[in-house]
Amino acid sequence: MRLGRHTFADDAMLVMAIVNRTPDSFYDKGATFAEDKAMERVDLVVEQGADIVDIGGVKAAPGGEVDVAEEVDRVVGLVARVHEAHPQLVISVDTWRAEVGEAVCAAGADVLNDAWGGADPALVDVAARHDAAIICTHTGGVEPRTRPFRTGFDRDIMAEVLDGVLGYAERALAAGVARESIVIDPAHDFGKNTHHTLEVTRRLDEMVDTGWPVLVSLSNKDFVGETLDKPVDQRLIGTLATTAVSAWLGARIYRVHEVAETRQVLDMVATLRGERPPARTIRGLA
Amino acid sequence: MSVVAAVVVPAAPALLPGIGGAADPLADLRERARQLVLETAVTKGVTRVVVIGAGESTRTWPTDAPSGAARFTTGRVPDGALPTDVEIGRMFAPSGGGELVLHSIASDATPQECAQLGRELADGPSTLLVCVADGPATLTDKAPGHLQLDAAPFALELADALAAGDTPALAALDPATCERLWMRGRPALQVLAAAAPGLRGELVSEEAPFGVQYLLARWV
Repeated sequence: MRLGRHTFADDAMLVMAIVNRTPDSFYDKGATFAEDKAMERVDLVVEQGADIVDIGGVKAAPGGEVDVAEEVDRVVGLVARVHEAHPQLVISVDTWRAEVGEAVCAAGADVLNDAWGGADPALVDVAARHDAAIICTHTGGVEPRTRPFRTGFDRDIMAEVLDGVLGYAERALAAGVARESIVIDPAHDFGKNTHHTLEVTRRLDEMVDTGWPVLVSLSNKDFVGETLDKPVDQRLIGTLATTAVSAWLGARIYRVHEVAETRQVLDMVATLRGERPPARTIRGLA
Repeated sequence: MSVVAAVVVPAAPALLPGIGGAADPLADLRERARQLVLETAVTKGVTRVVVIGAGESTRTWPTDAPSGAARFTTGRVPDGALPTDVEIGRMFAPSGGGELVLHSIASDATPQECAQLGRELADGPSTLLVCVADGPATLTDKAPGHLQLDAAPFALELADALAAGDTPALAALDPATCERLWMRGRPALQVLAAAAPGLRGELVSEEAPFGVQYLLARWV
């Protein structure tokens, strides 16, 4: 797998830290809206073991309009600063807009994380032109920044998700994105209710079996909240449990708020899977 | 004879068994709707119950058509499964005795097409019409369709129309406005307007716990 300038082993499990330059995202509620605060968070997550930062300038839920100019203004400067300060770090930008993609790639972004499933069909061309990686998500074709409302699928949900992400991956390939730079993502909760998201999660191995690397974005989402009946500030345990299961089923990239905790879970699962030696084994062995 | 009574019930998928999870947040609403339909059918002594709800197309459905609730879980929906709104209506229909008719109206049906179907459904034996429809889903910041400032006054007018049995008001609902306010029950309400003129309206309850207006109304 290659994410822009960075190449990773086939069994690497990567932590992608969420960095929001938004005043209103559901979890951090504007804590890193100021560019300096966002930069501080980048420094922190690097220290905690993040492989990737995912910089976003527009919250996913409905809310105040953020036009292209405003989104560019929020993210491009930060991308350039991170590129300068942390050359070893993969820089991803969470955007669905080709114009924004163009600007951030020029500033050093390695990955375009299209959380809205190809709403702007020109985004793949931008990724191809800059040799950037692209995250191909499934949203069922919904408008960006809308909530699911009575969304139903009259066909197997995993078949629907696979059609969406594989179709997107093929479009990216056809546009010229490198094969090793295409990642698929079922997009937990996007265009899906909690039942849908749970079904996709428990069958994540079917996505892994396609051969494309799988990204999961689980962190503190509503499906965790609705499953455990917990408000947004009490969803870490549910998130980590889902992270462990997803890792066991073969997901490769974890888009998260809590980096250190996720890293530990992934290390533990990697060891359980036999892909990582224990850190220190002396008990009964001395 | 004709439509001698009508009941308006909500259309939330979470009313279907199992969809709302262990807490079953709409259990109370489900029970009140079931009671209202039953009481109205018994009181009016109807011989036919007609369910009308929005769906992909306008057609009748076998009364034993399979459930489509899996569209909200695994997506493994059997062929010929009911549209959700019609399935919700079937759940509320009294069991045993009398004829049951299940009918969907296309979500994009024009007011004229709705009126035409309403007149056709009215032509029959003593009938209770179960109309499955909600008000707007844009009543709060956290509502499915986010907040639209005109949703609240719109919802108020809708509640008033149901309370008054105001068929012209329902017939006049503008499809584009309803779509903008995420109000998917518009066609079913416009079928009701044409099928049940001259009945006395009563708004039994109105609530919007999740930013979607749920109405229970009885027309007799």
